[in-house]
Amino acid sequence: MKAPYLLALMLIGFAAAPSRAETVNTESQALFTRIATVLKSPRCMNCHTDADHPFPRQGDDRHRHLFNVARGPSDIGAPGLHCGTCHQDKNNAASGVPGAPGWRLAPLSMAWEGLSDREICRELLDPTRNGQRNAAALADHFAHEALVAWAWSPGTDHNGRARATPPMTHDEFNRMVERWLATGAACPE
Amino acid sequence: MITFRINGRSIDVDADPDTPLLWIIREQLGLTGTKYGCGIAACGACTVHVDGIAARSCSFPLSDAAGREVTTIEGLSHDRSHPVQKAWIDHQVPQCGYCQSGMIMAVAAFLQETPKPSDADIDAAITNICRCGTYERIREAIHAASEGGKSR
Amino acid sequence: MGQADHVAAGRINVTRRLLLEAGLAAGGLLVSSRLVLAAGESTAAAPQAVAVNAWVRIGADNSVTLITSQSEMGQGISTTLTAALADELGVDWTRVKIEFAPFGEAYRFPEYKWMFTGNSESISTFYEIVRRMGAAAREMLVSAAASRLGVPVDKLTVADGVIRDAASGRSLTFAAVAADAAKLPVPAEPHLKPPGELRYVGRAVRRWDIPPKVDGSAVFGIDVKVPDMLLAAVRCAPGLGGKLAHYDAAAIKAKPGVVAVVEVPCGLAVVAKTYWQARRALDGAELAWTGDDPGLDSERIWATYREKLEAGPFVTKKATGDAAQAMAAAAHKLEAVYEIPFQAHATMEPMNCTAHVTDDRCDIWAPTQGVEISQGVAAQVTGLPSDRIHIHRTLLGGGFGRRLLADFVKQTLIIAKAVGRPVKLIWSREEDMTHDAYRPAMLHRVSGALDDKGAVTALAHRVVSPTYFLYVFPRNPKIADWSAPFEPPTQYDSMAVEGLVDPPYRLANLFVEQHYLESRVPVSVWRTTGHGPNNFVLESFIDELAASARQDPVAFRRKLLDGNARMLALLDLVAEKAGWEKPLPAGQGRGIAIAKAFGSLIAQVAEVSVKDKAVKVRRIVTAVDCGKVLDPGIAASNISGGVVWGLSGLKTEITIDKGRVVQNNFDAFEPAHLWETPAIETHFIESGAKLGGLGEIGPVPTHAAVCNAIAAVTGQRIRVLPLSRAGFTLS
Repeated sequence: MKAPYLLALMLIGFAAAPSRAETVNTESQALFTRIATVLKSPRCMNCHTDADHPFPRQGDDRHRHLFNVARGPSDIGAPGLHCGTCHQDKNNAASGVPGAPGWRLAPLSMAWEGLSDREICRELLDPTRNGQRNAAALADHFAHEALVAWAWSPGTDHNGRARATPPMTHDEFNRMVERWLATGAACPE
Repeated sequence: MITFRINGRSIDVDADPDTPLLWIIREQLGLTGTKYGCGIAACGACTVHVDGIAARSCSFPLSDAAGREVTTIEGLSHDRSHPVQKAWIDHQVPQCGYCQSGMIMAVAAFLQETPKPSDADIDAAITNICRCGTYERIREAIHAASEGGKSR
Repeated sequence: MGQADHVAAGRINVTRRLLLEAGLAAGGLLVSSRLVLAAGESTAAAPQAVAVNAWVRIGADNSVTLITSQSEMGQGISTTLTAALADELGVDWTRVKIEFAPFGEAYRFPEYKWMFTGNSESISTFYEIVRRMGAAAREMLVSAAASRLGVPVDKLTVADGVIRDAASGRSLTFAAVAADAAKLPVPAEPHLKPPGELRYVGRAVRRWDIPPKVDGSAVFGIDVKVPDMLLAAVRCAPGLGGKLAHYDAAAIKAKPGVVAVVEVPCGLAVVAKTYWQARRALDGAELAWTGDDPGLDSERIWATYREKLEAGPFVTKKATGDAAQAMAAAAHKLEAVYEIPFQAHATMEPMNCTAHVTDDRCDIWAPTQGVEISQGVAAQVTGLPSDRIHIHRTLLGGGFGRRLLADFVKQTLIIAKAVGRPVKLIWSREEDMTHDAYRPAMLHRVSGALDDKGAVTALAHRVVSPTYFLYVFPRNPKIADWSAPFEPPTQYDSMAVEGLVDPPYRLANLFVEQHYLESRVPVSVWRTTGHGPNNFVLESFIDELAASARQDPVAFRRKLLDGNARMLALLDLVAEKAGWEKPLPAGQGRGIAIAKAFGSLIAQVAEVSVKDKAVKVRRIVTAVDCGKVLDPGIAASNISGGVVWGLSGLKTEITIDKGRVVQNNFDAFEPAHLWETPAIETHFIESGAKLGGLGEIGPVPTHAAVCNAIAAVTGQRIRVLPLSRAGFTLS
């Protein structure tokens, strides 16, 4: 993150819930709408499921994860069937099983399934839901978290078919996140 | 050269590091109790323990075993004395038996974590495929093993 | 069964020191100092071991080896038949050794003159044989002892392999008199023990193969280790009917560990030092195929079935009374068409075989149900006489009829001949699922006539199905290639109409006809054979008739079973145990189905709940009459496992697209799981009738029982399987 942007964010008071009466920031909103296309892509959405659907999804068609795999009490699968039983810390070409360090479901506070772009945006910015992250930490999470980066190297399935990556590159995504944060991190209507 | 421990003994294996641990166990190490059923981590026949945690070895590269403790069905006990093995014999669980090494390893790891499971816990945890359909007796045997070998 | 030694103590370099320490060859090969203990080649047989007959061998140390003709695929037959043999022979079964028979005349089904394991006929055929062989052996041993001791035969008793003269206190072991006994004439009518004297038959015996299946030492075909063995992977044409067009042998041979590349009839095999090396080399190879039909798909296949359903030609398989006339005169008529899909066997252990072929000997280690067909194929591939061909059977990780075929044996022999060393061939799961010989798809129109009192006056069935027998019907030596499909004359081929031509119901008018479809999809027998699909149709339709007559399904069947005391007893028992009369809450329902199949009778009630098209099967209650239950534990396990097989069949199917089988692993072909398994209760009635089979009958009524239950809850009749076609899922 560049210092001027960080300063700008601190001035804006990023940490507060964004329900302020300010001029509608259409540029920032438009950026988030594009960011959301990544967040709603299967690679992300498959693990950002909600409490009503206590399981991960799989595939580009987002079917319910086969074999009764569940979220479990700690987001790492039911006792006796942890994510790590099958998923290791990198993609496994032999079996077609994807992997990344710390493979697990996103916590329920980060559930995005069924949410509008606005709702996802507000969730992302809420420190009680986003893991106590400020702007810098949020950008860092998107740029460096292994599970996030996995979305752009998701490997192949057991028939050798490549999983679809999100609709922009990781670099483009990171730059877009930074611009969104720098322009006030506005949420769409 | 990948070094790890298998059933309590240290071993060096010289093979392609991407080789699934399943085939190393079965061929280079000659331990054929761990079975190949699907190769895509769908059936669980290849289940072993890595550092005490269940892992499907068809989807676990040799390189990831470095420095770890691997336990196969042969290492669960010397004499079929593990409570799960005893329950499996008492309740005459296996039919063809091909899935049962993986099933026993999955159940053993599960009971370590959930010593007194409910039926719902068992439903959520045990996903190994048994084509002979021994699931009814598997459930009974899990309850028996969790109660220290007594029948339900 | 043998097992390679565990890793020796200390820090070991596997590729060198361990292998040398254990006396094994170097170079990454896996070698064992102990062959798999298998049929005919008993490493435990001492020089003085005596085969008293084809089923009993006595060692010099008085150890007893019992031979089982039938393959063990989880049905428990190698326990039940050897325990029956031990009972008559007079030995402690828990201390006998058990071996699988080699190919031999003595082990053939007398009726078919063919050695195999299948069709739920092992008990009904071999129980009496092994009883007599055990009793005959006992009498011969006792005669020999009587001569030796100078005492009349009837003064001697037998217990645990020892013959005693109570009066003098003298005794002789079986071993002491075995050689003499083997020279005596075989008694034509040996005395069989009355039930009260039997120690094992009628009781739940703890199976010999369960301890090794619980500690990892059990040896399945895929586990076989032979000194100097290589490993092979195979890829056959992905498209049905396809052939290999081109491959780059040099590029494949350059891959790590690869020793040879061998063409097999349907494709290509790669031979290497380890299976994974063979597999990697094959997966990475560019193979070109030709001759398949990318236009072939399930839609076109079903269109052909529908065309034949109307056009025929048809072979009449049953004609009692005059069904056509009864239909024409009927007060009420009902007609329905049912579609049943292709199914894969999907044994947990994929197809595999190990073989070693030399100029004068052929050894095969295989998890086979089809010893005779494999023996014949081996003779054809190697050119060796039969007595030079040795089949060593291992345990089978499931059979379900798939391992009656010899295709995987033939491939292995071709590869072994080419490389001149022992080779173990393993099919990947993908290869196994896409190169199966599937349970045929069937299209079935059924019509029923009711009189004005709601009684059934006629049933007529028109079935479109390929023959089930193409790959498994006994072959005669004149047939040049025993692995090729062969269609028996239709008078010998009624498998596609079984369960229809001889139902348990009293029907004045019954008509059954079949169109023998030429299938472009390879098809074969699958656990339940024709009974499974036909019972789904018949018992679903009986429920439709009952509904049309506004009668309760159990009461309706009771009337139709008029005079069938055995079946009525089962119907009443299952209705009582299932609580048929007891009301269920909304959203829950029961369904019943009955069957006469495989020499036994069965009645089954399924209790389900349905919510938003998610079906939870809560309970399945079954009553079975197989004449007599030889082992209650094994009997119950065959039925309960069978019920799960039936549930799986409601979920799975094999479809074709672009000329290829679509489903290639358990993600797309998903059998039933533990959490989908209902409470299962099984009851037996021992009517004393002729012994019937248990291996396949459990699942026969399950489809109809569950679908009838779904109809009871939702009003929706299911005529097409799997359930997903009607939007239902099992949960």
